[in-house]
Amino acid sequence: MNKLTTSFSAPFPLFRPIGDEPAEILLELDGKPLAARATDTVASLLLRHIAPETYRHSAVAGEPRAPLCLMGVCFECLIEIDGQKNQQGCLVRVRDGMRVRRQIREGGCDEQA
Amino acid sequence: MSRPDLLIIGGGAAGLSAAATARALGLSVELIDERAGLGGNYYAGAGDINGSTVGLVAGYRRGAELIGSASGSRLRSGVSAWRIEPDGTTRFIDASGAVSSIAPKRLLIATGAMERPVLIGGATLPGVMYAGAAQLMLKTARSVPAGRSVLVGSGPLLLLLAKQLISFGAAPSALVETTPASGNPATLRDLLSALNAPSLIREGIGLYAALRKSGVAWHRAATEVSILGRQRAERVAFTDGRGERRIIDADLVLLHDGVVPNDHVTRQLGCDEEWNKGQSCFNPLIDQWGETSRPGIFAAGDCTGIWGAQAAELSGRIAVLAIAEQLGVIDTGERDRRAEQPLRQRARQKAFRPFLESRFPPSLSRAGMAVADTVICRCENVTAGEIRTAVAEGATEPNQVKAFTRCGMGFCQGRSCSMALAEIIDAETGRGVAAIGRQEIRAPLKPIPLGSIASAPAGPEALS
Repeated sequence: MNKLTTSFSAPFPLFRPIGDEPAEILLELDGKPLAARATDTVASLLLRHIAPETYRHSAVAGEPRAPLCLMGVCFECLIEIDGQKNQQGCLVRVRDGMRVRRQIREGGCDEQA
Repeated sequence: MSRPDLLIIGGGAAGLSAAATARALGLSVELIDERAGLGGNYYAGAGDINGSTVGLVAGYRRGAELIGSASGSRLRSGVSAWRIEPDGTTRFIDASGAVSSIAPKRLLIATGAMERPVLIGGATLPGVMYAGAAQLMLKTARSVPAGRSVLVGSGPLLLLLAKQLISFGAAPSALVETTPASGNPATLRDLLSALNAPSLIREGIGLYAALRKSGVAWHRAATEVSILGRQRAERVAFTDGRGERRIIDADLVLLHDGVVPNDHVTRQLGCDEEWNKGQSCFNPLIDQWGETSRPGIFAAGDCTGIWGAQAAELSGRIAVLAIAEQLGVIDTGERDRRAEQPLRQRARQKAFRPFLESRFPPSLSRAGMAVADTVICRCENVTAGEIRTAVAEGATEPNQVKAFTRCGMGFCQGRSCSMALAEIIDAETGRGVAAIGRQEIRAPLKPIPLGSIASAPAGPEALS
């Protein structure tokens, strides 16, 4: 059980898909396979698959943070993509074989997907 | 390094229509946009071939047409400008991390609008997003809120989003409007002016009717909004129009307090700007063609003030006519003749705005009155209280507060906090936000890996 899960909030993602668009792109999230739609960005994909409090941990604030604006302005969606840290997940389109890694504190923000 | 006649930064309504107009006039054009797809905010997702779901979203077809008509130019998404010189030379980084430059004869900045930052208690919790973000999830990722969503704030976009979510089977559990109940005295005059744009009025009336019919819980004239939760948003607290304190459950809180120019590029260039009282934001000073205080550097669309997508499209065309005239492609008479109709159409579009501005003034986020522990700088986690302390200690200029507190020094470089900082300084000193201004913006416009800069091609334009 994830220690960040509180009794008040359900550990489910913020969004769900509509339509019948297939998830044909295969990438890796924290070393595990995850299928994405071709229209996804890294941030939109994660907003449908993980609890938002596990998106990233802000070392400065000492608390979890998650995407806010999805238009490249807020920098709350920072994430490691193909080995490069602090990429804006909302601006990057998913690609086959992409390696996405959440920037989370050791021992915290375990995967809840 | 390429040297096109025109470089356009931003692939929304203004940028796309500028590209199409420039191509038709025979100019060589390049367009870069940092998003994963073209269309900007209003026409987001319009470039996707598989757009069947978003086809229901108004304006989608026009967006696809705009992208089609601009496609004779070199259009690139996923490319971020990070440094712009006063002569228009633009350095950018692409999705692969490669850095290069374009040195255009003319530069057109069309970076659009962004959400007016909402800095209220609990806004940093995961599960709090802007209404525009939910709309982008719908338009580009065909996704809707999975749980109980609560829409909070003020503005046409909030109402439109509510209607869209209802129509896609994801009705919000509540709509909490902070729009003040009392009519603004300017409203009648503005309403008469708005009659210039009857289709927009019809759209608005239809929106209200649809929402009333939907039965979604609708709280009006709410004040004192905050979001509660431990690791993620769980509840929204507010005082309703009758003065009763309310708390409602929420899995996703969608905030909106209007939109403001996304003006980081013109700010980095040091273009002269003015305080727009009606829109409660700064905007770059431009002439009717869109030329900024820096000769040869133009700006068009909502990054110059919030006038909407239709006006942005017209402004993109108008700017390119002036650019073509400056480059000697058309003469002054030809420019004026071709500009006559779009200038007139734009005036009609703009006439609608004062009504919206007086009907939906910013009302959700009031940084000047924020309680001490409200986070103002999200990146560096600087609170309203820390900023007030710095002001009391003599840091009364935005750049001084930045140096004292790190407010605006993080990843977003003040995109979220700079207006709020001015509002807090104003509340403490009474100098007025127009006089206080905002922190200086310097390149790089966004953090880029040092390795990418090091591997950039050297030459006459080598990095200084």
